[in-house]
Amino acid sequence: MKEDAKPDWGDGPERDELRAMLRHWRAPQAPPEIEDALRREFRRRRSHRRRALWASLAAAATLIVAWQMRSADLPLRSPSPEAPVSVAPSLATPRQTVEPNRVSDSTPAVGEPARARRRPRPAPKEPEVVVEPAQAELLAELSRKMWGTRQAVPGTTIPEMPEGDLPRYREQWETVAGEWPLVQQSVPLGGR
Amino acid sequence: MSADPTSGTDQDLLEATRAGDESAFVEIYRRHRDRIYRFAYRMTGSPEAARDVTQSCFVGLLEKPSRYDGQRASLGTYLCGAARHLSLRRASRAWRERSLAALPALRPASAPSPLETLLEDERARVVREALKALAPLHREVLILAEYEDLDLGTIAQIVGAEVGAVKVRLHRARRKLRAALEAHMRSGTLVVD
Repeated sequence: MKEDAKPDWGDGPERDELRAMLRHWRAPQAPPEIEDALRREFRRRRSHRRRALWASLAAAATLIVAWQMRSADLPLRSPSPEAPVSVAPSLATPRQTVEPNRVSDSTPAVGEPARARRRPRPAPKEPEVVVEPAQAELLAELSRKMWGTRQAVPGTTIPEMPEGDLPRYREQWETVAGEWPLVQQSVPLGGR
Repeated sequence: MSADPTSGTDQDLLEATRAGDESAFVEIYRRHRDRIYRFAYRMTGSPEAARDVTQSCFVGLLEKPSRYDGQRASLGTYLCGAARHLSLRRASRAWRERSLAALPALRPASAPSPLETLLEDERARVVREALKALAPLHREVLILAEYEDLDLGTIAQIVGAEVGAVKVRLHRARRKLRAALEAHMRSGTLVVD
């Protein structure tokens, strides 16, 4: 018979006998200093929690005050008092679309504070260019290619040509008019 | 929390403790301190270690009250499991280092005579040493079953084992303890009251 298969002291007089023997070893009661130490620990943690709560409340109040001061300061920086500027722009506000070659000089839309602060300056007056009707389109296309003009993104303006580089057609037209290559001169203009 | 914290359940007291009620926390401590301290004392064999284990158990309840799940076990079982965890960590070190003979003598409250006191101390020493000789896994189930009168299901929850495993450990612990005590019983050192 295996040793593990022997009956143990699970119940009955054998277990009572074991318990009686074990009772010779008595455990003392919990010392009272544990309760005192736990009370101190509880108070320390509670006060720490309260301090943390007050600190977070103070931080939140500071943030709110700073936010209000900033929002009160924003309209003073606005260029025109008649154009109200929204402090918190809504992302849901549809953006104003700008036509490709249009330089916007309209009143800035509400909800776009960045654009509201910058009042678009009037474009400098370009010198008058007198060309033939077909050449006007060619020149315009050429200038777009040269300056990399593209579809204007909403809120941007078309880059301006430097004033000094503008062709002075009126002055130079007479000098270059007779110097076209031969192939240009051979085009029959009035043959049809 | 109500004015009388002693009338609430453990769960009520725990909620009040979370809300900052000191008396509720103290009431939790008073309800469970004896079992926790006794268990820790018998596991570690040291009153200082038992005091530290008991204090750490309740501080842990303050630190992480969310660790206790009332749906899984009672608060007493949870605290006993925490005490067991802390005791096992200490037992491997302290039980070896400290001499149990150097422990303060555990004198009964009413010792009739110096001779009787001496005999009682000797019996307590014999039982302590017999328990000390058990493996920690056997010792803990024996203490919980024989000293704390816990049922097998509760012991299984505390030690984190199946009921079957607890039965096996308890059976082996009793057998080894009997083998250790039989010589003293024959010599008359241990007498059954």
